[in-house]
Amino acid sequence: MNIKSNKFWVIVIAAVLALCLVAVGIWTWWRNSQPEEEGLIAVVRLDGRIVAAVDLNKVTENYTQTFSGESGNSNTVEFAPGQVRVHDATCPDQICVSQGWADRTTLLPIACLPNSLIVEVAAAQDLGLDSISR
Amino acid sequence: MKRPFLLALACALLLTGCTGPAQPTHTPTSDPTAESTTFAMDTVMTFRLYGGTEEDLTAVTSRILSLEQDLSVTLEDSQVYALNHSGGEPVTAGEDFLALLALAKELGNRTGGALDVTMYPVVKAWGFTTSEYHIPDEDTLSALLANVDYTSVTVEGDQVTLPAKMELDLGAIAKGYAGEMAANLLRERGVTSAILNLGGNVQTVGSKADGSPWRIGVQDPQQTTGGYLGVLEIRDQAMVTSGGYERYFEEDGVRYWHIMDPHTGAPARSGLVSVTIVGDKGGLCDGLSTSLFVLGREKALDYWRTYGGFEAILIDDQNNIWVTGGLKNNFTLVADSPYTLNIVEE
Repeated sequence: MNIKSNKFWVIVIAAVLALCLVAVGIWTWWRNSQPEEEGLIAVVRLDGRIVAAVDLNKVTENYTQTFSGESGNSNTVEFAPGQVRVHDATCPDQICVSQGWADRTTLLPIACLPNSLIVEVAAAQDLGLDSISR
Repeated sequence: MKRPFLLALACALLLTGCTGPAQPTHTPTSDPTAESTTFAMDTVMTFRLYGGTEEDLTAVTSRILSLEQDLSVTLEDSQVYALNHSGGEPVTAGEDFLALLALAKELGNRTGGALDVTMYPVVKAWGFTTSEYHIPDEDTLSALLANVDYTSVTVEGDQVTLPAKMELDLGAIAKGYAGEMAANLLRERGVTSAILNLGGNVQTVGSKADGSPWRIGVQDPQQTTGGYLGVLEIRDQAMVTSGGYERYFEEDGVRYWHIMDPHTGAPARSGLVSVTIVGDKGGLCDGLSTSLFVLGREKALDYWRTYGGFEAILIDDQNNIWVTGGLKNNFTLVADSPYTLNIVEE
């Protein structure tokens, strides 16, 4: 083991370590520059208009809100921490109620066709899916 | 040489430790440039364009609304409504109506009548159009079935004739066709990346912004919404599923779903609970998903071998999944699936 080869390895290792530090630095800077964890927004549309937009991450206790549209029917929507559902509705088929809870993994909006109401949780990227066929 | 080597190794480990977290497991998809969620054709439609503009979105929406206007069975000034109330007199049909009638006839002929667009009175009798469900008695059904026969619809030029007492509904193919037309329109307008969901019918344009395929979940038939049993990767194609879980009612512990067998006038009991079709033409995919559900696995796979031009995922009531050969590298079951996957070769 001669001195020359030792010096060579020290330089290589130092260079690699320096690169490492730069990478950590860039990554930390990049991560800090990203916005804080985004809200999980439940959007309620009635007769084509947005009538409520609730950040489900900020809901601490369940509460309900009733939406009555042009059809004369109404849906009571329950907002909960991280999820949302139609609690009850005056529509004949009750499909919206039977759809149950929607959260950040729900790809299809909850829809009540007779009452023209849509409840959608924005972005379900967690699943790594773009859509669902059903 | 021993020490430097170990040091280098330690450093290499450190290096991988450094770069590991900087690479996300899923490349983030860039945000849509235009998107909407609307009601049309009795369902919810979600459109997401990546690179398209609000004008592109408006063009697609108005194309769909005009299709609804022409083809709706309930809107009183639609062409289909006019035909259903013509008392057997010829009615003028537009290009889309004629295209759908031709498709319906071809599928009817190829499936031995498993798709019949004149089933509307039977579907009404079960209450599927109003959600006021009930089981019609034998006499009612046989009387209604006497007026079910898609071959009685005649087309001469743009004139369509339907015998009095019969009623036509293009619902089994119209949504898939609407997706197909919307995708064509987007391509013409230079949009290269878009995903449309028309009440569960998926239509894609091109691939994702980063060039990778779209990842589409296949609904798990044992769950009502949201849950999926596997993922299929597609590009620039339509993917349509028909399942017994979509619309149904239960009486005395028996489930009655909306997919009807035109030969019995009752919900199709073929052993299949879900059929997914993937292909270039959304209208064809839509019609096939319904009619192959009615035919059952054996005949569905015979159809696939005979005519081709599409791929399929069939799920039966014994937790078996059959995937046709063309999809074997694009379909993935979720982990710990209760389903058994079978690949069907030609």
